[in-house]
Amino acid sequence: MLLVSYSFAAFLAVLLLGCFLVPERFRWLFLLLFSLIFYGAGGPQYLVYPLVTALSTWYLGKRIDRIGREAKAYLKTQNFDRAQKKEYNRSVKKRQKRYLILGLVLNFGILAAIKYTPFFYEICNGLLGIFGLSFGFSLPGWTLPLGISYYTFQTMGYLVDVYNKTEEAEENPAKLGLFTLYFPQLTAGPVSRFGALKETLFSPEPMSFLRFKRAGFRILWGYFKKLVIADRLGPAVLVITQDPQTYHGIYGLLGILGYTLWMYADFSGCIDIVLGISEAIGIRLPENFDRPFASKSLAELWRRWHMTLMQWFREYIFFPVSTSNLAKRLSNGLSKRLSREVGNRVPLYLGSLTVWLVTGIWHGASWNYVSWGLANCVVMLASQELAGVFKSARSRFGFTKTKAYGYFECIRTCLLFAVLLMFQYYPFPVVFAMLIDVAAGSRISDLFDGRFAGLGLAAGDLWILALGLVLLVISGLRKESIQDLLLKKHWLIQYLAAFGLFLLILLFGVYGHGYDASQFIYNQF
Amino acid sequence: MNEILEILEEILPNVDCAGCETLVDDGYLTSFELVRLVTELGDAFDVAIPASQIVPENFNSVQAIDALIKRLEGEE
Repeated sequence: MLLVSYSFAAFLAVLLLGCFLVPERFRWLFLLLFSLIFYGAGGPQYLVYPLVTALSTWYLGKRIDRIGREAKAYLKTQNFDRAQKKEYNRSVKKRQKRYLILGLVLNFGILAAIKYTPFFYEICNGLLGIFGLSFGFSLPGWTLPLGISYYTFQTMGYLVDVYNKTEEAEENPAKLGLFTLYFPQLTAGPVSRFGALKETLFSPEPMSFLRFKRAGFRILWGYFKKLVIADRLGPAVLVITQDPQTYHGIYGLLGILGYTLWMYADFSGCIDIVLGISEAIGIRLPENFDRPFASKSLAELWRRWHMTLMQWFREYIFFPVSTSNLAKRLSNGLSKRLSREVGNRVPLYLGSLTVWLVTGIWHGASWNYVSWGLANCVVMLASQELAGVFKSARSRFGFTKTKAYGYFECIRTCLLFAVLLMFQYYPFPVVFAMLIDVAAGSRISDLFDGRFAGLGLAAGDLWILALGLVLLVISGLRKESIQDLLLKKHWLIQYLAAFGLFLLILLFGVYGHGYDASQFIYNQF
Repeated sequence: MNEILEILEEILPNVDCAGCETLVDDGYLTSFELVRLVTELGDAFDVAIPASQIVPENFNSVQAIDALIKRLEGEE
């Protein structure tokens, strides 16, 4: 069921009505039922995957927790000294680890098998091709279960938290089922932590008109970004990116910038809808964007874009890898053989490389996405290495403290992010050739040579896009969200703004008879 | 506390680690040093520092690090 469909509108209307009628203490059960319906609408067979994940995570979490509790109780009955206690705790951790690894292998195994089999098949076939061999069969095409990456990451984060004792195991399998299947976040995240979500998910706040209104503004703003901006911009961007021979020079630049804007409008629009729906029913999900284009460095941008996923990577991949025994051994080895400076860098490099490799593969099972992840990694490690140089340069030149320089840093970061995004689309050499072409062959006059007509954007579309972009920029410059800003205004202005936004979506949204509403880009993960 | 100070002084030889209360905030402990510090603390005190605890408040001063280690040891 797409968030942009009549069936979803009907589904949402019944859900909201039900939330008003169902007593608060049963609302989580009502949400579980609707989440099952939402997921099952794509085909009941797909329910098997999240249910296996939910039940295995619930069972293994309880086992890990029980081992810890029993050990604690046992220790109270013993007069162990510090060393004996440590030794005993180590053996307990070892037992718990077995269940953790079982859960990780099972659930990441399901994800890998479903999402990455074609990619592995391609790699193996390529390797066999070197020796003139091939598998001699092709893989059947199958559909990815909705949100498999999101719920797998969420549940595995929960299992690690239980193992690390930062979270207690959930006793009720139905509650862990809702944590896994809560329908709004299956479409594009956010990737929530159990500790942050359990209170709001299992004891939602009472339904209130004020929150309902705030949520309504946010949902409208999300649909505006998706239907008016993203779905209008997307097809034009695809024309450019799919035909770089025709659309080069300044069109290449338009493609690079347009792709980023499309991605942002689509993804952040979806998140606004998801968070708005949740807010309307009394559930507070974590924010996933914090004005990313106001960032002054790529690392900062990645802390503000898809924030929950990046936090997940930081907590469950970066730190465990960079503080692992392997990182330690490599670091010590290189310190002895080469130099201490080199050795000291190993943990950070290893952690960053792993995170960005996984980030790349998470976004898409292809070499292009791997290149994109690694390109981000290289840029960020290089800026980390050069941080001292930048700092001393900044202290020497007074203009670097001006507001104008701050804006320059933001624009530079956005351009860098946009250029790197092209690695998702083209192989390395093509991106470099494209950049050279943009730098050397961009002429504004080319916009009037007839090729622009091929993008499918009429004059009216350009005006609407301009209006949409102005609104996006205004909302991006303010720390306060659109919905909070509106709530401070007179009630008449609030309703006029909401009605205006609704009309804009109705009149200028890209949909209608014969239009196949496109999925949100981040649905595919 | 002295053991923590020794580790810190080895990682940050030119910083007044004992008196500084903004080791992370002022950029003395960058990602490179922080990762190394976490590893060395784990080895020295035999505690696992979960990623959720790797936040500036826990590493801004020797006292903050000491409090973190004691908290983690207490949990074990």
